[in-house]
Amino acid sequence: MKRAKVVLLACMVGICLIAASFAGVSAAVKPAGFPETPISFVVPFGFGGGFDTFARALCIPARKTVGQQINVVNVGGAGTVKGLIYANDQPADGYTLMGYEASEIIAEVSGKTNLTITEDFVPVMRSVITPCMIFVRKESPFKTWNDLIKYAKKNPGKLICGGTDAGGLFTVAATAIFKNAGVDVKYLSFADDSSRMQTSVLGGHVDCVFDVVSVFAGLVDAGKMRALVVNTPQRMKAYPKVPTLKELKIDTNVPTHWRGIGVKKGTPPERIKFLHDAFYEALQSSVFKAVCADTYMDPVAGYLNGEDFAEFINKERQTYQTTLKDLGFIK
Amino acid sequence: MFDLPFFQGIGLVFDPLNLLMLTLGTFCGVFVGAVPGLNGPMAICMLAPFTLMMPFNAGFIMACGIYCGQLFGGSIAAILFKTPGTEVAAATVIDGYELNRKGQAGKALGTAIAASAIGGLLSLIALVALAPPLAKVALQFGPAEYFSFALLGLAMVSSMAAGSPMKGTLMTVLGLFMSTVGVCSLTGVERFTFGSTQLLSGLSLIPVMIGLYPVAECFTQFKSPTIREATPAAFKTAAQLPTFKELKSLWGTIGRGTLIGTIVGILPGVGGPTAAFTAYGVEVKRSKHPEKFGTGILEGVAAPESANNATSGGAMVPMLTLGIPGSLTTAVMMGLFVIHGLQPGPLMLAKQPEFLYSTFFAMFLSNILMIFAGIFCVKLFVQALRLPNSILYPIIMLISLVGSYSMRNDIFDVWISIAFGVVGYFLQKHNWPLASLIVGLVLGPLVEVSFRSAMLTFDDNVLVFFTRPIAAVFIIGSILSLVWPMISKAIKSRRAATPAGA
Repeated sequence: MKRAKVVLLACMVGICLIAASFAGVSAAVKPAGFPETPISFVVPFGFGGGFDTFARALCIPARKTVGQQINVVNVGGAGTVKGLIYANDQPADGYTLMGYEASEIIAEVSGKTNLTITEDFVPVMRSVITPCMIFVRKESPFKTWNDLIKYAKKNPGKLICGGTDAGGLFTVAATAIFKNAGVDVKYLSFADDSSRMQTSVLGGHVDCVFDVVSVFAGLVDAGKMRALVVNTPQRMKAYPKVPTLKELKIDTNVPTHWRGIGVKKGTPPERIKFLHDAFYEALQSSVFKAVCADTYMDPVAGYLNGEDFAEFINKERQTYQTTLKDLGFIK
Repeated sequence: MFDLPFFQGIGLVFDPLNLLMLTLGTFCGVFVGAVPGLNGPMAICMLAPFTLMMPFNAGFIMACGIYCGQLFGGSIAAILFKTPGTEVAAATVIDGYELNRKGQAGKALGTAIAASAIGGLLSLIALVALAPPLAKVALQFGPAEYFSFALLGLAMVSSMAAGSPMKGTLMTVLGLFMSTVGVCSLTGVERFTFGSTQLLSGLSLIPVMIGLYPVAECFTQFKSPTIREATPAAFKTAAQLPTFKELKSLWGTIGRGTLIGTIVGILPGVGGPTAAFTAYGVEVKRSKHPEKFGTGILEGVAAPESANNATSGGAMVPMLTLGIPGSLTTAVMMGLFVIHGLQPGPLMLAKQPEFLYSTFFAMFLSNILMIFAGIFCVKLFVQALRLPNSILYPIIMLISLVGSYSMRNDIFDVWISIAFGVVGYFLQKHNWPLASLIVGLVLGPLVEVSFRSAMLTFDDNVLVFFTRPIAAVFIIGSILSLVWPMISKAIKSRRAATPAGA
């Protein structure tokens, strides 16, 4: 079955590449003279990470729907700030797409940059949301979320929760979840080293970890890890046994993990509309959906159009402002 | 072990398409390794869309070839042009380039090829023979163990600058300090950025290394050009594999390098540069003639080269048994699984046991193919020596700076390289060991992050480093390695004194 899937994927990509050589096969309405040259997609992270995988997977079908080559440009560093500066230095002509992620809001709220993704850039669409879970290892005494909370209440400040970033999305979301559950835990950052985090939790050096599902899916499926709670509104189809925050009566006003696209402010509206339509079509493609299924991204619940996305970002910004202040990351 | 999946695994590698891809991957890997600015992860990322058009195994086997090849490739440019093509070749520069200056480039390159191949092959044997217990070792390492391991590494490299230990130590401390610039990876606080956005992500290894080695070397050449005729001898240099006798004398060095490389490879978050420098440091410590290191001796090339290639076998252990990549390259290789709809990890091994063996054989064969790829690429790169220095060095500087830029597509990294080029020029002029500075920068984040993580985990209890067995062994080892030279000196002087007194 796996083999069939691979062959299928290969065929689909082959077809895409052939189709890409004919311009204008897409349903999206092309504005006159756009795009004539290849487009760049700025990924504010390095090679091989989650965002990189997302961007590269989305660009495979988008090359067909946009009718041009799309180059992924990795401008990582400084918590997405370098990527923002890079994209802001390019002309506002729609030839440069900016990858959107919560880290950009955090960078803005914590004063690391003056660039905002709603003022200096125009949100085009939110493409996916990525479910996150709290995991423990198989040998852990905590069978359920309540076990964990009971222990944390008895031993305040003893429980250690690991995550990959420091003062970023995972830090804020994990601490907020535990805070809303009424317990005080220690958050240990693994400095962008997801592998070290995985071996640490498997070896019992931290009690639990908070991360996106795709990182731990293999270990959960093999029975080496256990998921206790998921941050999506509904239970995940792939993991129907994992309860949601809402079911556990935890305040769900915590940041979520999502990915989207924007362009520089001043880009002609008809080009923005074209890019939105073309990327929306790419989002629906079977190639991208297959990648989503394998990496546990949700393009259905994840999709928002430009205006809704802008509104969503403004709401998230407020959440971050209050949570980061509560947690002492900003004054 | 010798069951059906084992033979299926071999069969898979010897499939004509897969064999072709492996050969292509190995040559490609050596080449991208040798060119600064191109590296293995990048090559595999670019390869990814094309693998969708071939069976998964062919794509993955090609990636295995790239992975093994690039670990060696960096040393070609390191030895010929003092330009580490990849970060893992940083330690090879020290003795490799000196050997080149002595006119023994061929010998240095041949030793690098042999040490790389042997290191890679031995670590792969360890992988396939001991994968499950080795995977357990990776899980034993918590913050306390990581810190004590890093401290041992630091103790080993402290003696690297044998000629001037004081200068060496000062440079290492400066390197450690430099590694603190940027956003703190534990708390997100900005440190020593002076309000600059550019410094938020710190001083990364590659731009600094490119500044200190090739750029500084170019400045030195501009100041006092060594007139070199483009002699046929120079560009006819070929890699000379070590003779059996030489290999015998290097055997211990390569063995220790392989051991260090394999252990470092298993631990996520400790990379190839750490392995190479630690192996180099250990050799200096053990050597009867430590003062010869840094002047161009074969041990100084064999140690880091065997260690950095041995990380490949080690890094495969957590990836194949648990689905956890041990390095950036293996992380990108795991990306290949994802775009092919496969989930690497324990389940995959249970369902497709032949996969473990095919990876093993592919990498094994790749390490052998690497010998030919290495000899071929050396022939290619020495052609650059046809150019007189006045043309060659500006080109090296340009390529190095482009390499510095291409790591993150960031022009600021180029400025860092140029600034460190100036710094490196003056340091070198006054005989300050540049390698020690790089070591500090390599080990700094590991030492700091693991120490602070341990303090957070164990409520500021420093005794954990002695109460946890693995940590205690490393800590005692590092204390001994620092104190031993003094003790042995004292014993020797007493022995010398006793007969005189008697």
